[in-house]
Amino acid sequence: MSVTSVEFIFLLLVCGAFFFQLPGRRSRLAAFSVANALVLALLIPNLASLAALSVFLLSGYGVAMLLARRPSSLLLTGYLAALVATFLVLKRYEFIGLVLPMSLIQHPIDIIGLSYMLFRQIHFLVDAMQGQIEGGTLPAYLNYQLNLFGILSGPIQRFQDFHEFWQTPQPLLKDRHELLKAILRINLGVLKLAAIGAMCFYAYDVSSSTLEQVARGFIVEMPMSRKLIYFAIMFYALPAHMYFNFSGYCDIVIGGALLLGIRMPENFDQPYLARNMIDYWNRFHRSLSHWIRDYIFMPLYKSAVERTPTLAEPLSILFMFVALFLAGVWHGSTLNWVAFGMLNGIGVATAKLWELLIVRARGRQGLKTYMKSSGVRLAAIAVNLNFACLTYLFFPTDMARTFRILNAMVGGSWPS
Amino acid sequence: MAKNTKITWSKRLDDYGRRHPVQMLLLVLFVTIFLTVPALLYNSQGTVVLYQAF
Amino acid sequence: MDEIREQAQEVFHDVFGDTDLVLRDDMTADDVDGWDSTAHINLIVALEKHFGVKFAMAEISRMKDEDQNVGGLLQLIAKKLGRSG
Repeated sequence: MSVTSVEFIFLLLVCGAFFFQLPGRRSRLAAFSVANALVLALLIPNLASLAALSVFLLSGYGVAMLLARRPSSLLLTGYLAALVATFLVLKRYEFIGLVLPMSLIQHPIDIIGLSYMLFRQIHFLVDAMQGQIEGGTLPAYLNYQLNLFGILSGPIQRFQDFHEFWQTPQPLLKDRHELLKAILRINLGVLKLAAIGAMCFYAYDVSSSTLEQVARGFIVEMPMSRKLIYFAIMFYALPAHMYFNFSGYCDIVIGGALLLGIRMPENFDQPYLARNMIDYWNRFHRSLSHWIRDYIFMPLYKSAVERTPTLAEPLSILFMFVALFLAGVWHGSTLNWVAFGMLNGIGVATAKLWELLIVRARGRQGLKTYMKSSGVRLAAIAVNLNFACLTYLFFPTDMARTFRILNAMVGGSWPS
Repeated sequence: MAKNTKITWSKRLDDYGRRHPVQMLLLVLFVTIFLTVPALLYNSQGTVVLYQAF
Repeated sequence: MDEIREQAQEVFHDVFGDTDLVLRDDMTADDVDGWDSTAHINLIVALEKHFGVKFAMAEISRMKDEDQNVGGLLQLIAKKLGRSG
């Protein structure tokens, strides 16, 4: 069952209609837990995966409870190192072979949504140690991690927000208008994902396949003007597909969650109108970039401000690069994600450096004037849109194919 | 908790729907019947490319 | 609370380089020039040093939410110092 199947949408609307007919908190939470368990049962392919997932989640919960009682940086660091190493093995990152036997990644374990569970787990651990988790019972934690509205591809909800629902499962939609808006949102999500996103992918698929055929010599003598048209379609269609696909999915789960009284975080805010890559990541997959900001960039930068205040500003550029680079390689275990991460890291680091240069040259007031200029804003949006699209050239996992296509554009041909 | 509250999903739709509740109901019915159902049928696989990568 | 506000205002003056800044409870990051993510951390570290308190990562990130303001920040400092608001 997928989020755009008739069965799922129908079940979602039916569950939403009857959920709050259940009397009392316990029955509602029981129903919610059963729904999460059913979705998990559909997603888990074998017992080995279930066992691995159980160890992953239960160990995280156990360590978090220990850290809440006895905060220990050593325990936190040690467990995080083990957690990340386990994640790399479970997701089959090939570079592991440099330090560990390759046989470790030859396992039958497949856990959908593990990347998101990792982020939620780290957040839970850090916040538990810092006394920011209330009501962190095991059932609450497991349902937080396995929440059917976030298990597949986020949004990455914080435990504190989930706990508001867990503590008091009440309707969030105050009147018929809000209910209609939620249903409309689900439907628009289906439209974006299943129709518009799919059509964008079709356009990307046809254009990239055609250019690959040119590169392999199966299509001979295509004029450059025609190649440019195919390349332009390919260049813009994949980012468009990514937006409609992912934001459509988010519309479905956010709208669906509202029917059950759960407020999932917003994940998109007109991303292709961003003026630079920092702004872009504040608009595209926001819950991910906010997590990166709060649990990678801020701790690194805070440590620099405390220990080496004079170097903090230049180090902030490096930390931004590191944070976005990690966000890139988190997406997957193949080499294209390294390139994707590097480009995004360079993008945000450049944006920060540019801002610092303007402040140095014109002061804070000069930066304010620069930011208010509509001409500058339009130019920045145009440049950033194209840079963001450039990063998406490295979204497909087959890098050799990407380079074959780029080769075709410059008139070469890849040996087939 | 980072509430992400800055975005309000479609302020204009909110304003319109409150002033014209019947039209809002008709809009939802129209999108559901004439746009969403064909979209579901067009892509009956319901492939979510993104989560397959994870 | 007034004492905390006065001292916090001095910290704000140092961090943002603006001695004309007057703290109001309803003030947010948007009202202060240069209050971005890095300046936010600079401010947090300066407040931690000055008042001898420690903020959790969740508290630091929550302060940037649009429903948070300087009044909330001052109340949090007061709470950490064990004083009523």
